[in-house]
Amino acid sequence: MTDRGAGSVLALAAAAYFVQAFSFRAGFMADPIGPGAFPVGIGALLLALALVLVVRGSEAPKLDRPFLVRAAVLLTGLGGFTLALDVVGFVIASTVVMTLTAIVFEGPLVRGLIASFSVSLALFILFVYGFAVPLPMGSLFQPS
Amino acid sequence: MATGWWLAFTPLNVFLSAAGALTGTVVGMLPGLGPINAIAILIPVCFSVGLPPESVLILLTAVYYGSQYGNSISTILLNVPGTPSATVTALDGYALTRKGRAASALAMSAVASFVGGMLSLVGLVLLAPLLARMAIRFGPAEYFALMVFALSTLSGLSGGSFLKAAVATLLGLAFSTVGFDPNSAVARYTFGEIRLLDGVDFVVLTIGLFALSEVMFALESESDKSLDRETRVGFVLEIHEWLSNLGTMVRGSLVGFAIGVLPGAGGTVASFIAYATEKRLHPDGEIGRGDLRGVAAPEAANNAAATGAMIPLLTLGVPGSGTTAVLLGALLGLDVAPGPLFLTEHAEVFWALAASMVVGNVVLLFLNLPLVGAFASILLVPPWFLYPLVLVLSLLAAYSVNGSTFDVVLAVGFGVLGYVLRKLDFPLAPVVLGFVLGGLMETSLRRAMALSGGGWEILFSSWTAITIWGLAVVATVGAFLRGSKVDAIDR
Repeated sequence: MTDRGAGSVLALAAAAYFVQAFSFRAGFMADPIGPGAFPVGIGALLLALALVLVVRGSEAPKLDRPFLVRAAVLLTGLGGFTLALDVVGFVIASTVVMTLTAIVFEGPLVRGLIASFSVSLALFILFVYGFAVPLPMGSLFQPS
Repeated sequence: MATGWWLAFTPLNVFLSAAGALTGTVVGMLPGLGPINAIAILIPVCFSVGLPPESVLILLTAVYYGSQYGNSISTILLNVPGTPSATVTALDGYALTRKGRAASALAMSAVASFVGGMLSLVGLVLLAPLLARMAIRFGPAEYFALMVFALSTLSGLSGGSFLKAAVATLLGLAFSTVGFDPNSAVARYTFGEIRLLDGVDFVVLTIGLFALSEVMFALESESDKSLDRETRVGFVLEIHEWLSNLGTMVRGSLVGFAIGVLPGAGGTVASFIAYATEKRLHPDGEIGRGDLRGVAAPEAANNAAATGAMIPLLTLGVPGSGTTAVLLGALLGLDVAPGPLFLTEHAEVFWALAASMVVGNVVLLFLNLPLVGAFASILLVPPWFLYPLVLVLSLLAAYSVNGSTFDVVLAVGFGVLGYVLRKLDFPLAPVVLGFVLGGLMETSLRRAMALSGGGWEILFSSWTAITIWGLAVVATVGAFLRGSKVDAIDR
């Protein structure tokens, strides 16, 4: 993606943000400019600068194919983590996403798996019992 | 006075300080927990054990200082800033790590924090009542001008394109408007999603932008060959380097302390402005590419601001930050009500607090300097283990903010955004600063408008405000001129 591409996406987003800001009407004695004024200002500036980016343009940074494949695997893993977290619980979801990341970073499979499981379990114990931060146990394993 | 002061140095209190500093460091290293949580968890523990007031204060300040330093560790080594103020440290701190000077950066951070903490304490003791009176005069119009100034200095920070820095700042401001608007009860940019009503959490945003995008960047540079793993852990006691950065630390402390006194502005604005000041004073272009001064200035400013924030807290009863708000809770729990009479009625608590800060600073310095090498050796861990660890710590941080999977999804989204922005040479720090200051900036603007009944002239109605506006214009024009050179090279 080039500056021109990024500028176009940004301009669209800024335009949407700007237009939406006009729908926030409240404005009363104690708040004369209301909740819309600040976003309107930001949206207008952002739109203007995005258009400058579009007009100016520049070269696109290179992305190579092997990286894109690995990034896709990583993002799929992250997506899977968010979907699975509440269902299978933190320890399993974390072990899977860590192992997957380790593989993407060309780590050894078995050692990666063992390390991921140990770290996930240790973090779970540390957060839940050490810091009293509840982590998902997994709805699969809860008696309903 | 004397009794309060010496109370801090009993064996129990020195032990509490050391324990607090260590605990704080560990908690601070894990982004998402942060000093507020650490202190909030400890307060009931302190009360149930029945510690005397000064011991409670000593323990809590030690935890606070410790967590600030712990946060610097993850910022410098892994580019994972857990608090807004650490975002600035990430610029040069992480660049130093990439140059193989992680340990020096960590040591610099510890020394600068110490200098900032100690110098600002002198300020606290000498100037508290005077500064409190001045801070009251800082009305919403002045705050708004200050925010604009802070944001404009920042466009010059990245050293890259002015246009891109400005876009990044505006993006951050735009993100800050997401959520329920408390003044008018209007939900803005929530797209009907209840979980967005509270807005985007800072940790979720930074974890995504910095930490997750970092993992993707590391993935791109394959096995991370750009990092020289062997040399970057080497640690030498570079006392001459610390001495040569003394000026930077002193300036950072002054800026930090002055800004810290203003409620709400706090460590973030302080560290950004201190950093920008150094960058302007040293136009050799090294700051921003891994320079110890780029670590020293924000770290000193941040710690000094934390002390400065004690002034409105103690003399006006106005907590200027989340952490001081929790501290206020602790003070009230101890039957000590801060306010204009605090310095006379509770002199012993004031002196115990000042002394506890000295102890906290000293303990932290002596505890952490020897451990710098050990912390830096985290980087020797092979990438296939380090990055999954960073990844899962980030996800965990995003989750633990509200105990919500939705925040994890948001963080991943910000991670992708952060990667794209970095790839296109948009600086990330302005996004974070815009996001952090956006709320205060808008509130100040609307309060000013409420005062004037909608007349914009109120923004320029005092000399203080006009001076700040002038500084903001100078900063913006300067950044624009510098940035347009970079833009010209870009094309």
